[in-house]
Amino acid sequence: MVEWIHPGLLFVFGAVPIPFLRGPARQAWLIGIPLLAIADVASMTPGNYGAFDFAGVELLIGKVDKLSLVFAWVFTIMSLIGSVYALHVKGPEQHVAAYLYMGSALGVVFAGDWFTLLVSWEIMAFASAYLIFAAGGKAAIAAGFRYLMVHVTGGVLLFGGIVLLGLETGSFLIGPLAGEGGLAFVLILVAFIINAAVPPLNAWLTDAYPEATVTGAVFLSAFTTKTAVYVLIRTFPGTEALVWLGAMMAIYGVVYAVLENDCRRLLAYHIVSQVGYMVVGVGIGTEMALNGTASHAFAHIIYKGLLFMGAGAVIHMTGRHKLTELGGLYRTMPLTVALYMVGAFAISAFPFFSGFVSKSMVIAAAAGDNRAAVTLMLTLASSGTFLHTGLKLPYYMFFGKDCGLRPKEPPRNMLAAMGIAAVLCIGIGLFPGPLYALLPHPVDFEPYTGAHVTGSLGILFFTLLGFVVYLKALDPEPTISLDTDWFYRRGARAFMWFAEKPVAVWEGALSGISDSVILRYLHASARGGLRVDLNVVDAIVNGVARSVLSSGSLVRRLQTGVVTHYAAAMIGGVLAAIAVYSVAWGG
Amino acid sequence: MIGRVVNFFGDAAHAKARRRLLWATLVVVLAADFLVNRDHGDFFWDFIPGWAAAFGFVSCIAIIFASKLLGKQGRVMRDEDYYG
Amino acid sequence: MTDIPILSLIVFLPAAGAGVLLFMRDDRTVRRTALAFAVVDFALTIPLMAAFDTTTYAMQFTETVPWVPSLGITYSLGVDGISLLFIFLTALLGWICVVASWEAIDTKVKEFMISLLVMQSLMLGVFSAMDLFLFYVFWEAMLIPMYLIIGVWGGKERVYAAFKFFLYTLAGSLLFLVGIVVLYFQGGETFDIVTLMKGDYSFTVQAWVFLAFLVAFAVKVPMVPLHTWLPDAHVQAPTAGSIVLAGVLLKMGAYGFLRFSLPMLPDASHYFATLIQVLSVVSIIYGGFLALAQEDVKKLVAYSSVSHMGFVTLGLFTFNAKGVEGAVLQMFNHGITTGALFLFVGLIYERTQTRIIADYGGLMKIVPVYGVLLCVFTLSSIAVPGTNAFVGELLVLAGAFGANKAIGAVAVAGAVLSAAYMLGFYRQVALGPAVAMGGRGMWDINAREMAGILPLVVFVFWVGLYPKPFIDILHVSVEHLLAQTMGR
Repeated sequence: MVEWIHPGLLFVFGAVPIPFLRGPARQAWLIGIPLLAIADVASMTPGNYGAFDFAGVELLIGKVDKLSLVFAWVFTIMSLIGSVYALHVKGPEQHVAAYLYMGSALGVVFAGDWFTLLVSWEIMAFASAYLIFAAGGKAAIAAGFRYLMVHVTGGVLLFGGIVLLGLETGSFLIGPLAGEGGLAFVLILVAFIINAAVPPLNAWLTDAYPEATVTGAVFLSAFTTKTAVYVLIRTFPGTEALVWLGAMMAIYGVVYAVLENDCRRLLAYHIVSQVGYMVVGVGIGTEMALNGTASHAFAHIIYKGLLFMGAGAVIHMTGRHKLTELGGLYRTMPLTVALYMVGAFAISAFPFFSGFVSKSMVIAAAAGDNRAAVTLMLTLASSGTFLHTGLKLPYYMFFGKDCGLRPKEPPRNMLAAMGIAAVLCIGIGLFPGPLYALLPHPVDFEPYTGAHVTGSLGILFFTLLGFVVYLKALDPEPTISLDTDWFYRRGARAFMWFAEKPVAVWEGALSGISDSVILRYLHASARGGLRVDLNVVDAIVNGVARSVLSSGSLVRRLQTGVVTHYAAAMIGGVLAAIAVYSVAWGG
Repeated sequence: MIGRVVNFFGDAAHAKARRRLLWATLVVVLAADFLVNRDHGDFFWDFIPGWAAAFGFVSCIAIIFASKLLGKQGRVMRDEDYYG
Repeated sequence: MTDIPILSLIVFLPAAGAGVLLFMRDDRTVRRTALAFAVVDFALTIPLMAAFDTTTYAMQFTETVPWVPSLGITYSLGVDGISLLFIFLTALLGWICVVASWEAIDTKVKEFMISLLVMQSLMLGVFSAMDLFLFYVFWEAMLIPMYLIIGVWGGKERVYAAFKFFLYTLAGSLLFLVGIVVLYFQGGETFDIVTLMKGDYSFTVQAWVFLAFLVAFAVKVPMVPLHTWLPDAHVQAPTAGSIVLAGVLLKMGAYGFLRFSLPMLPDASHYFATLIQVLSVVSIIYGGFLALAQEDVKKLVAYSSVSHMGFVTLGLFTFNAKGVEGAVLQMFNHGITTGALFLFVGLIYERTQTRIIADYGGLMKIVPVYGVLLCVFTLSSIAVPGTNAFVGELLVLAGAFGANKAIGAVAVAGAVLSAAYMLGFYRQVALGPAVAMGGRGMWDINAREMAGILPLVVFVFWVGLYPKPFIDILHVSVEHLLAQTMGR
């Protein structure tokens, strides 16, 4: 049999039949492919597969080691969960886009060389943009367009960086980047942190994710940022700047999330915050830190997916997404509430949930590396996490002031998907062993110590106390928050003004010069040249035309129209020039 | 069964019971913090019982305060159709 | 291959077709005959490609017949790796133009097809000429049918645009002629290109000739600031005119650099390289900004051509193999992609009678096939991996970074700009709510139009996914060119 099957190709080729399948056949296919992919990942052994030569460059599409495997595992599991969640979607376009998206994400994970990575990266951008466009409506299309522009720009930067890197090192195989501070280093790093949504380059995520379709957002939350984390681990481990960017990110996301009214935008800011933990881990670069990052990514994909699924279910059943317009839904959607809360507990790092065994590893790594400030910042962010994802959002969405709606539970497939995710969240929390076994480095961390447990519980419950005491201050308001996208949303207008006014006016002037100055001069010289032998040439042309060609009004035009004069001037000019220069240069 | 648990947290009827549960949990958690093993610690605060609780409470206040400041005084919160 | 003068055949077949057309009466036969000649001509280039030897840089399929021996003028044709691609491109776009004009041109159809075929012959002649005088004759003569195509069958301001086009190019060409004559005398009174390449000219001679050539070629490419004729010409020209203008004519300017400035005037080329690089980068950015500001779709594509050709001239003057190969490949790619874009613009203009971008909308919903295919060419224009332009741009950037990092960085910025205006264009035109458009409304692509589009799609992906055959054709000739340019 074949040595190794790229799971990404399973999705890319698996996307092709989707538009041609209907009903139960399509649903079976949508579940079958992810299952196949999981089986594929399960049966893989580490090694390098799929090396080949393209136009003189050596490519490697299958770099299988512990790091790529742990991400491949969670991506394929998430592909199953997301597909189950989206089973009810009728049109094939979103499914095809989601498959291309997931396939290319796996392409990035297994990429052994920069070109495979770049191609997969670009496909991810376009496929995921579709999931935003698919929501329809002016806001979604505008947001999708901004998303695409940001990602294409990132892609171009990545492209430039790769070319430069290839020139400098002579090789295109992926590995940790040396040459800290060189142009290639910076270009590639910026491209990666755009996708990781590191502030100030984070606005695309919080702008676009809430506009995507209900099922699309679930996929979006999982793949783009986590592939960015993966490549950061692969190529920039130990980069000091990332430690501070990550810590800042964690708090940034938390602070903005508190202000949010749109439930999915709140969760989107939360992605920024959680990815901050992962970025810190990459920056610290010790074995425990990288383990922490990988395990946190693993757990995060699943519980973030669960949270988006829960919020998406509410939007699906009520049509509303603003916290000011929701509330009191617990009466008719208890299952959704419970499943959402599992995700919320997981993300908050409650003991016995997945976040506890993963997030604490990152914080412990920071502590172990003697970084007091970073540890405190991350712990602060943990408090904030629980505050808005575990308390504010569910309170105002499910409890709190009754909005009057009595929506039923979402369709069974959505509940089933949430159920699978919830089981995983609890399962990993109770039995972290299998996850730890997948991590790239040997794990020397024991999450369930007394101090860890009481410490976590202390932070969480006393945050709850704060929430209860200051409940009024957290009431949602029907506002939006300005983020760094202000610069290109407002800035775009300034940019366009520049293109339309100064540049275009200059162009017009330039164009006009030709008319006013040059043409007049040419007119004069043409008239001069034409005076010389116009009659002779014209007569010849007339005679020739009359005798040889007798059809076509075109020829008549040639005889008497403007063209003759220029042709004459031309021929005259040639003859004159040859005469002049043969004399001047003496032959 | 899930429904009943959810209702416990939702219905106004159980408000008093919820309050009592909250205080009980807070006390238990705080007490537990004093009882655990504190041999290993990276920083000075790892050896202080009740630190996590205090930090959690203060963090929560700080975040609420900071974000409100940013939103109102920092003029980050704007009307919904600001870009429209 | 036997002694069939295949190049002469390829070059003069369309003109022969034009001659045949003179005797025809009704439009239907005219169109079909024109198409037949164009397709046969294209078919003839296929064995040319197949029989081409990619291992030598020497001119192949040469035909040499003395023409005016006393003046050293010979009728000399030949191809090498560089010109072969352009002959193929010209022949391909030739019949596509005939197909594109099928319904668009409905007055004086015979005269139009005659002009098109004559121009086809002349363009093919430009790329195969191995004698500088012959080259010049083809180069100049080409202006006339193009002038007619724009001036007779063009839009409202057609006479002004044709006039401007003609005068700009003519002015440049006269300087070109001066340079040619100088080379003739300096090179031993011969016009033979290969001989002239071997000549060793003093730096002063080289510099002046280079500058003369520069003006001529810079007008044609076009390079900023000599580009202002292009937007007007494109807007006023009929669809076929735009396709051939963007697809082939622009390449001639760059071809001039390749064939003459670099190998014959190497010292001057090195001396002025930075100037050209700077002008190229200015073209990239300036063209990009202007494209962003356009309301008329043809002007948008016109300015995008200025920007893209900036990449080409940049690559040519990097003096390394990657840059030059990338530049030549980009010329081919640009011909395909921009030719296709003008084809699409022509399609929508024929139906809706408007070129204003704001008047379009929601095309994906109304005409999905058109929308999807337009998407393919939009992506190609942005150089998304998998498309032809990606490979070309990759090579050019590799060359540019190799030469000068700052210039490479600015070129990268230009790539972002091109994404901005193309995606913005696509979003306005294809996405969003369907808009009721004027004219006769919008209907989807029919079989005839599809026949013209398909080969272009094929090449977008062929070059994008498997560029090896194309790079192989170029490689040895480019290496030799660089040896000529560097070895002095």
